[in-house]
Amino acid sequence: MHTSDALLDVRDVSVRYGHVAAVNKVSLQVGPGEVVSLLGANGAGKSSLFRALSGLVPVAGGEVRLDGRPLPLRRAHEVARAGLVHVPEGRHVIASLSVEENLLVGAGGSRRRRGFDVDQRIEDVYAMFPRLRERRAQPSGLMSGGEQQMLAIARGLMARPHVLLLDEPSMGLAPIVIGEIFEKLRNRKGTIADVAILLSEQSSGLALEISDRAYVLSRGNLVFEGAADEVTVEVTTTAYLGSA
Amino acid sequence: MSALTQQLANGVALGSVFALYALGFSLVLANLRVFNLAHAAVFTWGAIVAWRLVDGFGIPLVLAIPATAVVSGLLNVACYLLLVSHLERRKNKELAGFISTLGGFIVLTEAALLYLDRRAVRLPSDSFPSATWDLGLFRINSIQVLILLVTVVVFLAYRWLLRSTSLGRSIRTAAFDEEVARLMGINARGVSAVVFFISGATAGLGAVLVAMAFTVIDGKLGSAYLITAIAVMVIGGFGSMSGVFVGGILVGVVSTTTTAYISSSYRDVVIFGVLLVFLVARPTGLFRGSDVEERV
Amino acid sequence: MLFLDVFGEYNFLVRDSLILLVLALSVYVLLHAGMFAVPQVGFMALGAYASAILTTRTEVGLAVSLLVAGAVGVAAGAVLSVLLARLNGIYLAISTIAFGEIVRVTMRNLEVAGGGLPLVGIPRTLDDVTLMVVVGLSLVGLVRLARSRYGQAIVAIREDPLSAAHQGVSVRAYRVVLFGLSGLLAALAGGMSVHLTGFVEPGLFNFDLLVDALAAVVLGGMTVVAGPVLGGLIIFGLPEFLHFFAQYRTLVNGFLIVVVIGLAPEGLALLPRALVRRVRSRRAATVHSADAPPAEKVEEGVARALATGGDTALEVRGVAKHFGGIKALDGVDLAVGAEEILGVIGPNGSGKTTLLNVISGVYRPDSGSVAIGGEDVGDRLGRPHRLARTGLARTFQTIRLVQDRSVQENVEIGAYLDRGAEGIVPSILGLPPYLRSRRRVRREVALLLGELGLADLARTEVALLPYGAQRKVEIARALMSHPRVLLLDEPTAGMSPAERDEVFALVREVRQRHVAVVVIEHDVRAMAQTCDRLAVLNFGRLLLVDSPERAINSEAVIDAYIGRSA
Repeated sequence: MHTSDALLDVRDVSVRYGHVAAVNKVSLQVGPGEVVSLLGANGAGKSSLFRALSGLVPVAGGEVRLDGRPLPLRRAHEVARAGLVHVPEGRHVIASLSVEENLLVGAGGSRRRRGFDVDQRIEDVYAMFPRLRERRAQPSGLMSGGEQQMLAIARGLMARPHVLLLDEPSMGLAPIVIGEIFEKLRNRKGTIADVAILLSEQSSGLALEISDRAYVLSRGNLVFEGAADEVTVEVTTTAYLGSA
Repeated sequence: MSALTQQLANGVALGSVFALYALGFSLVLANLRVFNLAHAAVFTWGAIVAWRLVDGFGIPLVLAIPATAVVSGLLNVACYLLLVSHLERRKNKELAGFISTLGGFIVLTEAALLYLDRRAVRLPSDSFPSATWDLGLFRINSIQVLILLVTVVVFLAYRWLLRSTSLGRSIRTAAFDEEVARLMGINARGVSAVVFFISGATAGLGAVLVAMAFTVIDGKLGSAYLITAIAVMVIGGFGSMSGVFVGGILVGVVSTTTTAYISSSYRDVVIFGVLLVFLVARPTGLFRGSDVEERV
Repeated sequence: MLFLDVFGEYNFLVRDSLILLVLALSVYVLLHAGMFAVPQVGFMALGAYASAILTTRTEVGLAVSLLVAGAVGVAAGAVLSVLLARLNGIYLAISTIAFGEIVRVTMRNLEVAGGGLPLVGIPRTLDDVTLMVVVGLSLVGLVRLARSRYGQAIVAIREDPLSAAHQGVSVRAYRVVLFGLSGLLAALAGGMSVHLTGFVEPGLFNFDLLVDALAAVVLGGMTVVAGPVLGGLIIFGLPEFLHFFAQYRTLVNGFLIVVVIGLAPEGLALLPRALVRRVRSRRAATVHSADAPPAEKVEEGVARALATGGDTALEVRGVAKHFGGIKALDGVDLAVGAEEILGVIGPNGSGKTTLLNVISGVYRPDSGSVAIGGEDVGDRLGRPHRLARTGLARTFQTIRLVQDRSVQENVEIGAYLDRGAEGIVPSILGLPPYLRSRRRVRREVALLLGELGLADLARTEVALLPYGAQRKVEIARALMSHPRVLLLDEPTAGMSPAERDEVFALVREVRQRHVAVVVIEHDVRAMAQTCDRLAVLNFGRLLLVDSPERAINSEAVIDAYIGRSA
């Protein structure tokens, strides 16, 4: 895609820990309304890249633009407010807050914010995830893993992100639950989740089913990019289990 | 019987002050996991500032009280910026923070002693109306009423803040998981500074009330109450607002009844004896600062 | 003998400072082990009053008085540490401050202690020989302690208690002993001080005294004996010599504390070294590959490993572990032979690390059993330092070495359990058994480092080494204990391809030492080349254990990893 169309434009970004490159000059783009998969085995660099994009760790080289403007990297709360929202792996709901309070925090805290009606957004979230409505006043730490993942995603969406970074939503969840979540993502047109998504996953099957395009990382390097249906089993097997 | 109820009444008033002191301390400890020893010195300076305003500039107490709270809050924020904020990424940040704020405590306390020339001062006795009411079972005076009122209002305000406001949610979120808070657009450093401000303002308020009630102000004011505040936090339970409130009242009541019925020299023995029992048997205190309850 | 009178008008100051130095050393004892506890002023009060009461009511001499004070201190320390065993961090610090206050307040109310009034008439029998002997013995004792295996264990505890436990160090036992030692020193300081001044009152043992002692240790440095000495000089000694300063000395002390902890947290005694380290850039130390000729095996260790019953080094049966509602491990059975390399692979969150954590004692399993060398480890489960004694060693996903020590010192701690001949007394006194054991260990370490191609780096500070070399050092440390089973959790995480290859080569070589290896990794290709068998985990269950080719090509595994059919 043309980089000028891209909502999220990552160019030659590297991430280093000490003198080891966890991510080595990776470029990718995410356009409006797209779901783009970022695949790779563990240790391939997916989470490191996400953490660099969202500002939690420093970028060792390269450039990142959101909506054509450079991101205030290294100040994570400003990156989030600029519209790039990272839903971290492992869910990390704020257990001491209720479901609805988690959503409010995601929206920036107050019920009335200039620009949009938070209550309406909360209703939209409950429309998409009815189970969260059932538990709206309960402490979020008591929910099941799947429900917490839904909450984490919903919380990210409350901020009206331009691009959502979804980091391994399937990790640690039972297959049925994973299926449920991906089903909701697949049918996201018209819901609150109808935003550009960069989805990182180890398990490629479901991710590719809902994606338009995909990138594959192996040991910090980009080894494949293309349309989702171009990602064959051979490509992933080679990247994950075979030679680099 | 009326003597006992009198002691109880006095104890509640005294305990309220302990509770206010411990509340500010506990807010920072529970949410930022920093044992801010400089808090004791901020308390001292709160009393000094109030005295300066009233005695030096003739400002009426009713204005001096909020002014003191604001100045104390800002002083505590300065402590955060100079003593704590640069240690946040350290591996042993708890120990480093303790030592750093210890240094701050020493500097500020010495500064207070030097400022007062190692003397004690008092608020002018005509600066507040002093009335006494006889309620049959016990007598209270206007200052005690004020102390109790302020304490209750402050606790309710804390509760409201933490439970119902956006800032409160941000504080609780950052306390639970700082990284995730940042990912959700919360400026964690800003939140920490606000927490320190609130903590300091509470200390300042408590200090003015203490100055009004017991009149003597010297450089060691905050230190004198420090250990008692620690007892309140241990007994009441770290990180729990109800705990701090109940713990404060409890310690206050134990304090006055022991002084009245045994002797003042045994006051400390009893308090610290209770403290020791809690340390051994139930170090987490009466009320757990649970996940569900708001953490002060 | 009052030879310190040579200091003229300062002679009291000098003696007092020496006593306070002993107090500062008692603070150092706990802080240098990473234990955030400050009960020392309370111990000092106990020792002081013990001596005071004893010598005002009986005719005992100085030596007995100090002995009693010391005994009181040791007992108080040991008891306190047991009482507060469950507390850590800030809560431990607060509790110990409160303890100090409790002692002070109690003394103020005890009739026998003067009931709040100063207790006078204590024989001023402290002579300078006794004082110097106590100070000298304390300093020498602590320095020798630092050099012994106990000192190394303490450093390990300070840096990383979990890792120390895996070397066989019982953190709980050390805590009790160190509290006792701290109590001993502080109480001796108390006893000596009353025999110097002739009186005692509760108000002496207040928060200010604690602050002074703490300041001395912080300023000078809390990780070396020289720290409290230097700090004590600054805090207690210097100001008196600079008269105009004296009025502001507390203010300046406080300021120095903030500055030191902020800019030079290791303390002033180590400042020169810290500055040198900052100036020196990281050396990209080249790590030689392991093709040095195989040196003689260390016979004792191998003989022990060979003496295991049967050929199964590790057996895991029906192990289950859940956290909250999540089943991290759901009934895992595994057996690993004595010279086998078993690889464990599986997607993220499949329970691989949890499995290792259960085996090495980080977690207690909810059900199931573990046997090492044919023996069920039973009640050692959940206790890393006890499991270490059965011949188990491991590395973690992150590097857990003592960063500011040399490679040599780090690897030596691996032999902690093997150095039983180095008892505390031989170590402090430098007796032959200690010296012999020390030499033997040093030889073993040198041999091992040579075999692993790390000989050139023996004296290098670990922090300066690249990740790959650090991991090799960790494996060397693990091998020092002649384990039967070695667990490696993602040893090559974060390494360059060249470093990865070296680590895998090392793993293959480890097998020759009659050590069973269980390794978790994500580089499935390298695992296939290195491992004898592969175990595949998913959702806490073992999918299969088979030869690498069969495992990789099985449908189940490809599904699990790639999720082709969800």
